[in-house]
Amino acid sequence: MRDALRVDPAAMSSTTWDEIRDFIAAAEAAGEVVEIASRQEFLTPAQAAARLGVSRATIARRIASGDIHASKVGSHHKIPLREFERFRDERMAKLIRATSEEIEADLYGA
Amino acid sequence: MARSTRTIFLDANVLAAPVTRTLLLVGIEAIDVVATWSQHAEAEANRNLRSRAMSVTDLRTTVLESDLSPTGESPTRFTGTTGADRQILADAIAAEAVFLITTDVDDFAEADLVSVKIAAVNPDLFMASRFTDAAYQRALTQLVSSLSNPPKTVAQMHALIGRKHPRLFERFAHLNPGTALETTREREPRVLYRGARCIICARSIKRPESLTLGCHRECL
Repeated sequence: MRDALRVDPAAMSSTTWDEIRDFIAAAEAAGEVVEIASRQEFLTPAQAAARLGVSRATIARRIASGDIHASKVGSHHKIPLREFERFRDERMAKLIRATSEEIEADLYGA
Repeated sequence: MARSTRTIFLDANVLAAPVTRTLLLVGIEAIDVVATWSQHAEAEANRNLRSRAMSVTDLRTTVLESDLSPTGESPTRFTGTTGADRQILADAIAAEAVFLITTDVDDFAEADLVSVKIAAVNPDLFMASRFTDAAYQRALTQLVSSLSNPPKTVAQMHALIGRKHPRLFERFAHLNPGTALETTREREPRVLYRGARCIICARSIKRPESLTLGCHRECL
Protein backbone atom coordinates (compact mmCIF):
# COMPACT_ATOMS: atom_id res chain seq x y z
CA MET A 1 0.00 0.00 0.00
CA ARG A 2 1.34 3.46 -0.88
CA ASP A 3 2.27 6.17 1.62
CA ALA A 4 -0.55 8.52 2.58
CA LEU A 5 -0.97 11.69 0.55
CA ARG A 6 -1.14 14.68 2.87
CA VAL A 7 -2.89 17.82 1.67
CA ASP A 8 -3.15 21.10 3.56
CA PRO A 9 -6.39 22.73 2.32
CA ALA A 10 -5.02 26.17 3.20
CA ALA A 11 -1.92 25.73 1.06
CA MET A 12 -3.07 24.00 -2.10
CA SER A 13 -1.06 24.80 -5.20
CA SER A 14 -2.00 24.56 -8.86
CA THR A 15 -0.65 20.99 -8.94
CA THR A 16 -2.42 19.66 -5.85
CA TRP A 17 -5.47 18.36 -7.72
CA ASP A 18 -3.18 16.63 -10.21
CA GLU A 19 -1.39 14.93 -7.31
CA ILE A 20 -4.73 13.80 -5.87
CA ARG A 21 -5.86 12.45 -9.26
CA ASP A 22 -2.54 10.63 -9.71
CA PHE A 23 -2.81 9.15 -6.23
CA ILE A 24 -6.32 7.85 -6.86
CA ALA A 25 -5.35 6.49 -10.27
CA ALA A 26 -2.35 4.67 -8.81
CA ALA A 27 -4.53 3.21 -6.05
CA GLU A 28 -7.08 2.05 -8.59
CA ALA A 29 -4.36 0.43 -10.69
CA ALA A 30 -3.15 -1.43 -7.63
CA GLY A 31 -6.67 -2.58 -6.74
CA GLU A 32 -6.79 -0.43 -3.63
CA VAL A 33 -9.48 1.87 -2.21
CA VAL A 34 -8.86 5.46 -1.13
CA GLU A 35 -10.03 6.78 2.21
CA ILE A 36 -10.24 10.54 2.74
CA ALA A 37 -10.14 11.89 6.28
CA SER A 38 -9.33 15.21 7.89
CA ARG A 39 -7.76 15.95 11.23
CA GLN A 40 -6.47 18.89 13.18
CA GLU A 41 -2.71 18.99 13.35
CA PHE A 42 -1.02 19.94 16.61
CA LEU A 43 2.44 20.97 17.74
CA THR A 44 3.95 20.49 21.17
CA PRO A 45 5.43 23.61 22.81
CA ALA A 46 8.89 22.15 22.14
CA GLN A 47 8.12 21.75 18.43
CA ALA A 48 6.74 25.29 18.23
CA ALA A 49 9.85 26.62 19.99
CA ALA A 50 12.17 24.77 17.61
CA ARG A 51 10.32 26.08 14.56
CA LEU A 52 10.60 29.68 15.78
CA GLY A 53 14.12 29.41 17.15
CA VAL A 54 13.04 30.44 20.65
CA SER A 55 13.14 28.69 24.01
CA ARG A 56 10.40 26.45 25.34
CA ALA A 57 10.06 28.88 28.24
CA THR A 58 9.12 31.63 25.77
CA ILE A 59 6.36 29.51 24.28
CA ALA A 60 5.16 28.55 27.77
CA ARG A 61 5.00 32.24 28.70
CA ARG A 62 3.00 33.03 25.57
CA ILE A 63 0.56 30.23 26.30
CA ALA A 64 0.17 31.41 29.90
CA SER A 65 -0.50 34.99 28.76
CA GLY A 66 -3.08 33.84 26.21
CA ASP A 67 -1.09 35.03 23.19
CA ILE A 68 -1.00 31.44 21.96
CA HIS A 69 -4.17 29.42 22.41
CA ALA A 70 -3.31 25.86 23.32
CA SER A 71 -5.38 23.00 24.61
CA LYS A 72 -4.25 20.89 27.51
CA VAL A 73 -4.13 17.12 27.42
CA GLY A 74 -3.23 15.86 30.88
CA SER A 75 -0.30 18.02 31.92
CA HIS A 76 0.82 18.77 28.34
CA HIS A 77 -0.13 21.60 26.02
CA LYS A 78 -0.98 21.07 22.37
CA ILE A 79 -0.99 23.95 19.89
CA PRO A 80 -3.18 23.64 16.79
CA LEU A 81 -1.07 24.16 13.66
CA ARG A 82 -3.34 26.98 12.48
CA GLU A 83 -2.92 28.74 15.82
CA PHE A 84 0.85 28.36 15.60
CA GLU A 85 0.82 29.83 12.10
CA ARG A 86 -1.34 32.75 13.26
CA PHE A 87 1.08 33.51 16.08
CA ARG A 88 4.09 33.14 13.78
CA ASP A 89 2.62 35.50 11.17
CA GLU A 90 1.64 38.05 13.80
CA ARG A 91 5.18 37.91 15.22
CA MET A 92 6.63 38.72 11.81
CA ALA A 93 4.06 41.48 11.24
CA LYS A 94 5.16 42.99 14.56
CA LEU A 95 8.77 42.78 13.44
CA ILE A 96 7.97 44.70 10.26
CA ARG A 97 5.80 47.30 11.99
CA ALA A 98 8.45 47.89 14.67
CA THR A 99 11.06 48.66 12.02
CA SER A 100 8.83 50.07 9.29
CA GLU A 101 10.67 53.40 9.06
CA GLU A 102 14.01 51.69 8.61
CA ILE A 103 12.62 49.24 6.05
CA GLU A 104 10.98 52.01 4.03
CA ALA A 105 14.12 54.15 4.10
CA ASP A 106 16.15 51.16 2.98
CA LEU A 107 13.63 50.22 0.27
CA TYR A 108 13.43 53.68 -1.21
CA GLY A 109 17.13 54.39 -0.77
CA ALA A 110 16.59 57.34 1.59
CA MET B 1 27.86 15.33 16.59
CA ALA B 2 26.27 16.24 13.26
CA ARG B 3 25.11 19.82 13.02
CA SER B 4 21.53 20.60 12.18
CA THR B 5 21.25 21.92 8.67
CA ARG B 6 18.38 24.16 9.81
CA THR B 7 20.49 26.90 11.35
CA ILE B 8 21.95 29.92 9.59
CA PHE B 9 24.11 32.52 11.27
CA LEU B 10 23.60 36.19 10.39
CA ASP B 11 26.61 38.48 10.21
CA ALA B 12 26.42 42.07 11.47
CA ASN B 13 26.15 43.52 7.96
CA VAL B 14 22.96 41.50 7.37
CA LEU B 15 21.50 42.38 10.77
CA ALA B 16 22.08 46.07 10.08
CA ALA B 17 20.31 45.96 6.69
CA PRO B 18 16.55 46.27 7.40
CA VAL B 19 15.20 44.95 4.08
CA THR B 20 17.60 42.02 3.81
CA ARG B 21 17.18 41.10 7.48
CA THR B 22 13.40 41.20 7.25
CA LEU B 23 13.19 39.19 4.03
CA LEU B 24 15.43 36.54 5.52
CA LEU B 25 13.65 36.30 8.87
CA VAL B 26 10.19 36.13 7.31
CA GLY B 27 11.07 33.87 4.38
CA ILE B 28 13.07 31.24 6.23
CA GLU B 29 10.14 30.42 8.49
CA ALA B 30 8.40 28.91 5.47
CA ILE B 31 11.35 26.66 4.65
CA ASP B 32 11.96 25.40 8.18
CA VAL B 33 15.22 27.24 8.71
CA VAL B 34 16.07 29.30 11.80
CA ALA B 35 18.41 32.27 12.05
CA THR B 36 20.65 33.12 14.95
CA TRP B 37 23.46 35.53 15.78
CA SER B 38 25.93 36.20 18.56
CA GLN B 39 26.57 39.07 20.94
CA HIS B 40 29.56 40.06 18.84
CA ALA B 41 27.48 40.27 15.64
CA GLU B 42 24.65 42.07 17.38
CA ALA B 43 26.93 44.70 18.95
CA GLU B 44 28.59 45.34 15.60
CA ALA B 45 25.20 45.64 13.88
CA ASN B 46 23.94 48.05 16.56
CA ARG B 47 26.95 50.29 15.89
CA ASN B 48 26.10 50.43 12.19
CA LEU B 49 22.37 51.18 12.30
CA ARG B 50 20.88 54.42 11.03
CA SER B 51 20.27 57.02 13.70
CA ARG B 52 16.96 56.46 15.54
CA ALA B 53 16.69 52.93 14.18
CA MET B 54 15.45 50.28 16.60
CA SER B 55 18.46 48.39 17.89
CA VAL B 56 18.90 44.77 16.89
CA THR B 57 19.02 43.98 20.60
CA ASP B 58 15.57 45.51 21.17
CA LEU B 59 14.23 43.74 18.11
CA ARG B 60 15.53 40.39 19.28
CA THR B 61 14.45 40.72 22.90
CA THR B 62 11.08 42.45 22.54
CA VAL B 63 9.74 41.15 19.22
CA LEU B 64 11.53 37.91 18.42
CA GLU B 65 12.13 36.89 22.05
CA SER B 66 15.09 34.82 20.98
CA ASP B 67 18.41 34.22 22.70
CA LEU B 68 21.87 35.07 21.43
CA SER B 69 23.97 32.20 20.18
CA PRO B 70 27.05 31.35 22.26
CA THR B 71 30.38 33.08 21.76
CA GLY B 72 32.82 30.91 19.84
CA GLU B 73 36.15 29.87 21.26
CA SER B 74 39.64 30.11 19.80
CA PRO B 75 38.95 32.51 16.95
CA THR B 76 42.69 32.82 16.28
CA ARG B 77 42.69 29.31 14.80
CA PHE B 78 41.23 30.87 11.64
CA THR B 79 44.53 32.11 10.33
CA GLY B 80 43.33 32.99 6.83
CA THR B 81 40.53 35.24 8.08
CA THR B 82 41.39 38.56 9.63
CA GLY B 83 40.28 40.81 12.46
CA ALA B 84 36.75 40.70 13.84
CA ASP B 85 35.64 38.21 11.21
CA ARG B 86 37.57 35.46 12.99
CA GLN B 87 35.24 35.86 15.96
CA ILE B 88 32.19 35.85 13.66
CA LEU B 89 33.31 32.57 12.14
CA ALA B 90 33.99 31.07 15.58
CA ASP B 91 30.55 32.23 16.72
CA ALA B 92 28.87 30.67 13.68
CA ILE B 93 30.49 27.34 14.55
CA ALA B 94 29.45 27.68 18.21
CA ALA B 95 25.89 28.28 16.99
CA GLU B 96 26.11 24.99 15.03
CA ALA B 97 25.19 26.88 11.90
CA VAL B 98 25.98 25.45 8.48
CA PHE B 99 25.70 28.75 6.60
CA LEU B 100 27.10 32.12 7.55
CA ILE B 101 25.05 34.76 5.76
CA THR B 102 27.13 37.84 5.02
CA THR B 103 27.47 40.53 2.40
CA ASP B 104 31.26 40.35 2.82
CA VAL B 105 31.88 36.77 1.79
CA ASP B 106 35.40 37.59 0.66
CA ASP B 107 36.37 38.54 4.23
CA PHE B 108 36.30 34.84 5.12
CA ALA B 109 39.13 32.62 3.94
CA GLU B 110 38.08 29.58 1.94
CA ALA B 111 40.48 27.30 3.83
CA ASP B 112 39.02 28.38 7.19
CA LEU B 113 35.47 27.80 6.01
CA VAL B 114 36.26 24.39 4.52
CA SER B 115 38.09 23.32 7.69
CA VAL B 116 34.91 23.71 9.74
CA LYS B 117 32.47 22.60 7.01
CA ILE B 118 30.58 25.85 6.80
CA ALA B 119 29.80 28.10 3.86
CA ALA B 120 29.73 31.88 3.76
CA VAL B 121 26.89 32.95 1.49
CA ASN B 122 25.67 36.29 0.18
CA PRO B 123 22.06 36.86 1.39
CA ASP B 124 20.68 37.46 -2.11
CA LEU B 125 22.22 34.24 -3.38
CA PHE B 126 21.02 32.32 -0.32
CA MET B 127 17.43 33.53 -0.67
CA ALA B 128 17.36 33.02 -4.43
CA SER B 129 18.68 29.48 -3.98
CA ARG B 130 16.63 28.36 -1.01
CA PHE B 131 13.33 30.24 -0.94
CA THR B 132 10.32 28.50 -2.37
CA ASP B 133 7.52 30.32 -4.17
CA ALA B 134 5.49 30.18 -0.94
CA ALA B 135 8.37 31.55 1.16
CA TYR B 136 8.96 34.51 -1.14
CA GLN B 137 5.26 35.24 -1.51
CA ARG B 138 4.92 35.15 2.27
CA ALA B 139 7.72 37.65 2.69
CA LEU B 140 6.30 39.97 0.03
CA THR B 141 2.75 39.76 1.38
CA GLN B 142 3.88 40.42 4.95
CA LEU B 143 5.86 43.46 3.85
CA VAL B 144 2.99 44.90 1.84
CA SER B 145 0.41 44.31 4.55
CA SER B 146 2.52 45.43 7.52
CA LEU B 147 4.26 48.56 6.27
CA SER B 148 2.52 51.83 7.02
CA ASN B 149 3.65 53.40 3.77
CA PRO B 150 3.80 50.46 1.35
CA PRO B 151 3.75 50.34 -2.41
CA LYS B 152 0.28 49.49 -3.66
CA THR B 153 0.90 46.00 -4.89
CA VAL B 154 2.96 42.92 -4.27
CA ALA B 155 4.41 43.37 -7.77
CA GLN B 156 5.66 46.85 -6.87
CA MET B 157 7.28 45.49 -3.73
CA HIS B 158 8.89 42.76 -5.82
CA ALA B 159 10.37 45.44 -8.11
CA LEU B 160 11.67 47.48 -5.17
CA ILE B 161 13.28 44.42 -3.64
CA GLY B 162 14.99 43.76 -6.97
CA ARG B 163 17.11 46.88 -6.46
CA LYS B 164 18.87 45.23 -3.56
CA HIS B 165 18.33 41.60 -4.43
CA PRO B 166 18.50 41.12 -8.20
CA ARG B 167 18.95 37.36 -7.95
CA LEU B 168 15.86 37.02 -5.78
CA PHE B 169 13.97 39.21 -8.25
CA GLU B 170 15.00 37.07 -11.23
CA ARG B 171 14.37 33.78 -9.42
CA PHE B 172 10.76 34.72 -8.65
CA ALA B 173 9.99 36.81 -11.71
CA HIS B 174 7.42 34.19 -12.75
CA LEU B 175 5.28 35.10 -9.71
CA ASN B 176 4.96 38.69 -10.87
CA PRO B 177 5.10 38.51 -14.67
CA GLY B 178 5.68 41.76 -16.47
CA THR B 179 7.30 43.47 -13.49
CA ALA B 180 10.41 45.32 -14.64
CA LEU B 181 13.56 45.38 -12.57
CA GLU B 182 14.35 48.86 -11.28
CA THR B 183 17.20 50.40 -13.20
CA THR B 184 18.90 51.74 -10.08
CA ARG B 185 20.40 48.59 -8.71
CA GLU B 186 22.98 48.19 -5.96
CA ARG B 187 26.23 46.74 -7.16
CA GLU B 188 26.61 43.06 -6.42
CA PRO B 189 29.70 42.00 -4.43
CA ARG B 190 32.38 40.22 -6.44
CA VAL B 191 32.35 37.11 -4.22
CA LEU B 192 28.97 35.56 -3.36
CA TYR B 193 29.93 32.17 -2.01
CA ARG B 194 32.83 30.45 -0.28
CA GLY B 195 32.95 27.19 1.58
CA ALA B 196 32.18 23.56 1.43
CA ARG B 197 28.45 23.06 1.53
CA CYS B 198 25.78 23.00 -1.14
CA ILE B 199 23.38 25.88 -0.43
CA ILE B 200 20.38 23.83 -1.52
CA CYS B 201 20.90 20.37 -0.01
CA ALA B 202 23.29 21.59 2.75
CA ARG B 203 25.54 18.53 2.37
CA SER B 204 29.21 19.18 3.03
CA ILE B 205 31.59 18.45 0.19
CA LYS B 206 35.28 17.78 -0.22
CA ARG B 207 35.85 19.75 -3.42
CA PRO B 208 34.36 23.27 -3.33
CA GLU B 209 35.33 23.74 -6.98
CA SER B 210 32.71 21.14 -7.93
CA LEU B 211 29.91 23.54 -6.96
CA THR B 212 28.25 26.01 -9.29
CA LEU B 213 27.54 29.23 -7.39
CA GLY B 214 27.48 27.28 -4.16
CA CYS B 215 25.21 24.50 -5.37
CA HIS B 216 25.63 20.97 -6.65
CA ARG B 217 24.83 20.90 -10.33
CA GLU B 218 22.16 18.26 -9.68
CA CYS B 219 20.52 20.39 -6.99
CA LEU B 220 20.01 23.35 -9.31
